[in-house]
Amino acid sequence: MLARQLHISLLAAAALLLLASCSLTAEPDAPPHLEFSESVLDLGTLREGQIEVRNTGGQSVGPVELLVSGVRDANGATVPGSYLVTDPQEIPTLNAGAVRMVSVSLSVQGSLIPGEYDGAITARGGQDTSAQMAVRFLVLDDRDSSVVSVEILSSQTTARVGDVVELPVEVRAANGTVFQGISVSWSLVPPDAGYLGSTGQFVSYQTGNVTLVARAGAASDTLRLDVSERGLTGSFEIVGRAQESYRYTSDLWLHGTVAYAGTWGSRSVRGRINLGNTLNIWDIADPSSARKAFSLEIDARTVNDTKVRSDGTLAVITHEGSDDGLNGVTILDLTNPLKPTPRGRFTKELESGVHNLWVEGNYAYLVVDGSGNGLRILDISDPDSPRVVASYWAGSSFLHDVYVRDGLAFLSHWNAGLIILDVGNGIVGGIPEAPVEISRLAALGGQTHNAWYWPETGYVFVGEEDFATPGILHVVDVRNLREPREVATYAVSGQAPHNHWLDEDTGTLYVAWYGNGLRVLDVSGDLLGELERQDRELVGLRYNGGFGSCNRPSQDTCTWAPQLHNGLVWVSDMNEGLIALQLTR
Amino acid sequence: MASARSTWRAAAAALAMVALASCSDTPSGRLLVTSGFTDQIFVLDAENGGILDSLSLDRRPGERDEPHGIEVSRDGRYFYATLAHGEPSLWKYEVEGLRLVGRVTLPTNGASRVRLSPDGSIAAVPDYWLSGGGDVSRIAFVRTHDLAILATPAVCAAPHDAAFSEDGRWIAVPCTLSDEVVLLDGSDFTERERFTVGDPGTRPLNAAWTTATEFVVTLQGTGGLTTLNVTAGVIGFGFAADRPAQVTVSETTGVLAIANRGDGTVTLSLAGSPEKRVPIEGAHPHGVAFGKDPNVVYVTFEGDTGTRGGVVAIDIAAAEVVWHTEIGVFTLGVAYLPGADQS
Repeated sequence: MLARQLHISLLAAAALLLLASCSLTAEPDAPPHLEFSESVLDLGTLREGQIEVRNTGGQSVGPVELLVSGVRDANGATVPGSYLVTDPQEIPTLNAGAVRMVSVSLSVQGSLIPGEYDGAITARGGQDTSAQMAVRFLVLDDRDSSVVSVEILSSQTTARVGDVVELPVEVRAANGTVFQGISVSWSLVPPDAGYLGSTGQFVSYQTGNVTLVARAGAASDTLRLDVSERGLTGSFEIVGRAQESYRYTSDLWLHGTVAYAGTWGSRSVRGRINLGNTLNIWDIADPSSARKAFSLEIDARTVNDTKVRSDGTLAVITHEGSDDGLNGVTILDLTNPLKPTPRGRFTKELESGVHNLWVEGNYAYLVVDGSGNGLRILDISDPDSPRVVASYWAGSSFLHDVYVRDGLAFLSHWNAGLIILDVGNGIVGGIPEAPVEISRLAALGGQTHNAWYWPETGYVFVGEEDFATPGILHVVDVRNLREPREVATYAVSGQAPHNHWLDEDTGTLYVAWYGNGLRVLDVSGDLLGELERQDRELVGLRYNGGFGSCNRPSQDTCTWAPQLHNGLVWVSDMNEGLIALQLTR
Repeated sequence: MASARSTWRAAAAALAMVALASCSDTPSGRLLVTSGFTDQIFVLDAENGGILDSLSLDRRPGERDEPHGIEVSRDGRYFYATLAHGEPSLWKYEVEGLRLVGRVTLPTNGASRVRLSPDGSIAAVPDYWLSGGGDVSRIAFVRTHDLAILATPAVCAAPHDAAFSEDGRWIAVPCTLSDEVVLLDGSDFTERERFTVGDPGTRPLNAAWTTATEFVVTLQGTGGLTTLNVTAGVIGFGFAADRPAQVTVSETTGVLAIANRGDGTVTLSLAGSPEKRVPIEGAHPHGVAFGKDPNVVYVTFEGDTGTRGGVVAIDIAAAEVVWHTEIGVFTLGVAYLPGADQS
């Protein structure tokens, strides 16, 4: 009996010991915890400073992304073209107890109106931990005592929300001399009524009376504006659908009565995997009843882009993830536009894959996947034996898309920003065989994805495909091609923008915004500030509802690209295929 | 009496097992597999190929990022994976909880395999710059503790692998577009030897060390395998494999396993024994790894433009597939993650 009790006691003790030692060794370290050394970095009149980021937790964390906001003025309006910059932009890893110094600087386009500004930096360690801090700085006015008068040389008294009002100012000394280049400070009543640009422009964000006060030295002048609604409305009617339910649909191109649409990635349907190895060709002679005329399979896991030459004789399609590892592009003969036939495949120097392209005359401008590769310009004057005649890479990051017009190539070069090349325009002597860089604008928040150049206004609309801090669309003024500058932005919360198409006749921009559907924006007139605060959106349509589930098992709206064609807006939707929409405004 | 004693023993053993089991929720052995076209790492049960988990490396949901190489540190605490596209990067995970703890963007054009030094302190990632037209590209050497980039020596055209020798003294770099193998010094990453392994188009791709001074390299262009010595260079050719991809050597048995991307087979070879060729169901074998059981080798297959990729486990003695799991798209790298009792 005693022996049995002893056994039981020993067993219990052994089990308890095991469990206790187990729980001791299994005790997890404290989770990671990020902290900035200061909650506010006050730069005063300086333009750079330093801050520490610490991991005060017990586990490693990484990467630590340093997410920066735009710069805001004292009224809370975002200043176009001005950003906080951190070095590094991302800390690879912070072990428990580790500290990393981060440099903070301001990237400011041109000059700023005197006043106080701020921005924010978020250090984010995945889902585990994040910390936020503010950055403040100051722009002083000249306080020139010789100034005796300021006059706003505008007689404008009314405007609509979103209209840009020019505010020329004349500043004089006691002897009547007009000052040149003196800084004028501005204030608004009410303070959040809109945005005042440093070049003397105002855009209103709300209706009602706005008072603008200009000051220089001890002098001031006032302008009152009565701001009315912009008064835009719009709606869409769904005209037709071309459904592709086996594969995810990528980009589209329409020519005549035919729609060409690539396919993307891998889609699992009833247990079977379907890869993006196909170009779908749709007969859209009757948009309400599109008919799949033909499907062309090629050696690819994604046919990301398709372009038809303007004469309709040939198309070029891209290969990514090909089985033979050579990728490249295939040139299609469109003698029968509903049943294209491959004329040949070109792969040299394109082995890592081609993601996007543009066809202009006898040249195909090809976006080669990956850092170090960039642009290849392919002479396709003889489609049976194309040859690479030029290449270009920005020296960092990778090229994502290209848009060519008027002898200018606009390269969306991801973290290197927007780059403008002369490929025949003549401004700096470039030709397709020898492109010459005209300028670049790196301060666009990174992830520069695509661009559309509108020569009539000198604007370029640039998409930022940022999934970490939902992306925005940037409006860049390139009237001086040598000095592109951001003038406006357009943001929609959640998701990132994708491709866009501009109706230049009406100044209407159609933006595919993945799960946010198709957004339609009035971009007529001058553009300045935050467009989403200007009642410029005519309509935002999630034609298939949902919550933004793209390229996952879903039927949700997931808009990839729009194209205006014969009065209808056609969109490619990853989950559905093609949809034809009629805009009423 | 004897029966009562055995009952107590059984009870004690059961209690101990319960206690031990509650200590650890880690399965005995797992496989980590990169899926290049879905931007994922899959975690499989090495015993039966069951899918246990998946990790997303999808930085840009609308774009292709391509997880490519994967390797586990020898102490079993960390694993590392490369992302080949976009701006190439190296990702660091803690095995405990499969938790991402770091990522560094590499100053290179591409990233293929990741190889660790024997002590796990350094990761080597070659810049497989296939579209570079034969320009010289680099190997990125990264300190694993803090993911600091230590060096990026320019080595040769489109290096695909950078395999450390067992003692860490040498790093063998097959150069795909220059048909060379470069030997780097493991202490300072400087070049020590450069050997031509064949005519243009030979395309050396991956390496595996067989002894302290000899290693084998797969020849993707011409097919087959070549053996090199650190001083003499090429000392032999063998195995007329069809466009082989990865090769690995069992530390315990010395068996060589080669994934023959071209003909869908796996070559198994041990000196003195007849070579075995095992066909697998799945297009384009790519990655190979041994695990705890030296009689089993794990092989990934990429799939093709119409089919999934996946993984098979091959019984070496029987030369047959013991399990087959379709997983991922363009399935590339594989690494064995030992269980808690194996590390």
